Amino acid sequence: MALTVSGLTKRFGSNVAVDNLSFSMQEPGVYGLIGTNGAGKTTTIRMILDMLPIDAGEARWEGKPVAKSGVRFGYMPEERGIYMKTKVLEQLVYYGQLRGLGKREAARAARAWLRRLGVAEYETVIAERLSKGNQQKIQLISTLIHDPQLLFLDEPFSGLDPLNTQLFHDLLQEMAAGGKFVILSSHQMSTVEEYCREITLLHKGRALLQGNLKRIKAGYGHTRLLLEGAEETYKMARDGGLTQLETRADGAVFALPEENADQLCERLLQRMLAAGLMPLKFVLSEPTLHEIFIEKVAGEAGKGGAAA
Amino acid sequence: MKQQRKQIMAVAGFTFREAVRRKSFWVTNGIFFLLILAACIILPQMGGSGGAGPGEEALEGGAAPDAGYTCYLINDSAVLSDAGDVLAQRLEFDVRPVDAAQKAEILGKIRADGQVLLLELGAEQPPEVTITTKDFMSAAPTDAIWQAMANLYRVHAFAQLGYDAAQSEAIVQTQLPLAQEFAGGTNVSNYAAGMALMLMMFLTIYIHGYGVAMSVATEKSTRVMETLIVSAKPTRILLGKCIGMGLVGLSQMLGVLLFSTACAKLLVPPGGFGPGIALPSMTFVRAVLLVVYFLLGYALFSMINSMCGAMVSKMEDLQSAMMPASMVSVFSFYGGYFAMGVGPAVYSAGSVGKLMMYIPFTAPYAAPGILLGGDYTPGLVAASIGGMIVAIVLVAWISSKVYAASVLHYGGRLKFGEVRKLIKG
Repeated sequence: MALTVSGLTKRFGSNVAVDNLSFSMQEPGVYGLIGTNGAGKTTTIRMILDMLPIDAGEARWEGKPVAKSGVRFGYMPEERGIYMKTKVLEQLVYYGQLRGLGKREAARAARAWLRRLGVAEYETVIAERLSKGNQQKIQLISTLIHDPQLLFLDEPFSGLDPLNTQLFHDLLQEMAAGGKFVILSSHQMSTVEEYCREITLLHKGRALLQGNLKRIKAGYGHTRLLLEGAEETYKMARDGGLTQLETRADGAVFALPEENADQLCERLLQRMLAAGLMPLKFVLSEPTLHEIFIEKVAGEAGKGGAAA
Repeated sequence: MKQQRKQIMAVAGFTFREAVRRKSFWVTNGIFFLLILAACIILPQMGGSGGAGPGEEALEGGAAPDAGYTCYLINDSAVLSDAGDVLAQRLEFDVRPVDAAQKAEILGKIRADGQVLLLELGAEQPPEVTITTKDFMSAAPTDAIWQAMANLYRVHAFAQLGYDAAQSEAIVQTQLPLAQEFAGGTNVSNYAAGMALMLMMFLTIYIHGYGVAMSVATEKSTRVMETLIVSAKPTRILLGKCIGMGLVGLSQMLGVLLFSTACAKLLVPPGGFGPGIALPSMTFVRAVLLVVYFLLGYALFSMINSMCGAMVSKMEDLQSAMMPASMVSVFSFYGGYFAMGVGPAVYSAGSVGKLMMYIPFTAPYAAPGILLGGDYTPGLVAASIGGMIVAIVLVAWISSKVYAASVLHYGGRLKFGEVRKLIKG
């Protein structure tokens, strides 16, 4: 099984919302679509799901167009929508029926999910009486009720409290481990970094960065040093040519040069040890996805500005 | 195909349950039922004596039907000098002769009291008769007064020619027995039932058609739509929604009709609504045709309304988006009403009524009167229904395009030009 998107393009008038986007997902897991608001993430998902007509390109599941391939797919849109005046079980059964389940089968699946997510007691309650977190659980159940193979989650964690975040987190891990193909769209980089093996970074409809997240980060090398220790250790780092970026409760963060960063850090640590200064923390790190994102998008904006 | 049907029926079933669960549905039904019950209890008390007509009572020596008026009289006619006596005796008016100088004061009294009127008889030959009543809705018996003055004039004219006064009066007052019969089917019962059905048809189509627009707009504004159209094609959702609301409307209409029939049978004695009024000529074929017209009319207007609902993102924009559709709906109703209003005179001539039957938007409202009146041909009905089906197919095609293109558009209300671009894009 595989999802292949190639040359996907969508225009709204003169505005190109998605420009020749291609990516593929060959194995089960979580794929990240990241980008700022308006980058084209939701439009991409809508085109893949045949909710919007495609101007050029195609999206295929096992070689067939997604919408006609018979794949069971689920979609949780960014804007949550449930029937507020309708009882929870009734609307879940309705969603299940729309997704091809029989009435009894849908009721059985809905009840199982309600129990699983700890909201079984709200089965006969109208949705508007539920808390926001529980409403989101109902929305999630409506997405999962028919056991989809291919899942699209658009900003699934937005507005969740820590307990529900953990619940959704466990569920996402379970789905990835259970052979589901999950496309996660988000502008929260920490979320994507936590779940996604592969990503596409979208900006103004174009893919700025694509591929395996570990390899992308490894390509940047070590760019940061987190140091915690006596004040002399910080002074020694500054004297050694490092730029202090910020001071945090757990130490100070220094920027490393692009060239020979590892050798420079090795020499710095040796000097500290020779001077009898044992740092509590001496951590070399790759850039975070957030930093890569900022760099890429800012670079693109710079190009745009220069071109202008 | 099976999956399509299942999805359409799932949407229809859900829409139906949602609609009948609403309080407004039961409140509307309650109001309808109360009105019917009140009509069946009160109207027979008011008008349905079931006995003699108004003329018969007067002949038997009871009070004249037009008695009780105060009639101020400005009489400049030499010939009709005894006009006051005639009015007092025949019509049992309280007649008060006055001068022309008092006219302004009299007009004030007439404006204050509908039971007061002014009769002016001119000096010319024959005298001009001027009657002043409160307003055009006044029930004052102007025809009876005018007739009495004309008869009095004729009696005096005969007397001048030398005829015996008593004989002249007897001849002049002679009434010929009158029996009016109708070759067509538009009698008063069918006419009244046609009016009631037309109103019922309009209310049901309008209310439940609006319900479709509300339902679409709500799903769009609450973002449920995105979850729906990922599972089913927009056209299936649209179709299911229209079917669901249509079933609500149909069950409501049939419920009201059954309740009306039961009340009429159980609570109203024969002739209880007055002489000449019986149950309308409802045959099985006519009943089926009426249901067909309702379904087609509902389909036509609900498709248009769903398009309006899909064009808004916020509920507060729905009213303005619905304005053109509401105007079409209301004008169509008035088209049907106009056909009914002038109907008995022109149905058989085939002008207004037939024209309204040929126009798809007015046909469902013109149909009750024409079908119950029986003045139709199979050709007229076939052409009318055929026209409606063509219109529905056309409107459904446009609506599904607009619906599919608009349901994912958020922001301001879409203008028709923007919708056209979305459909093309």
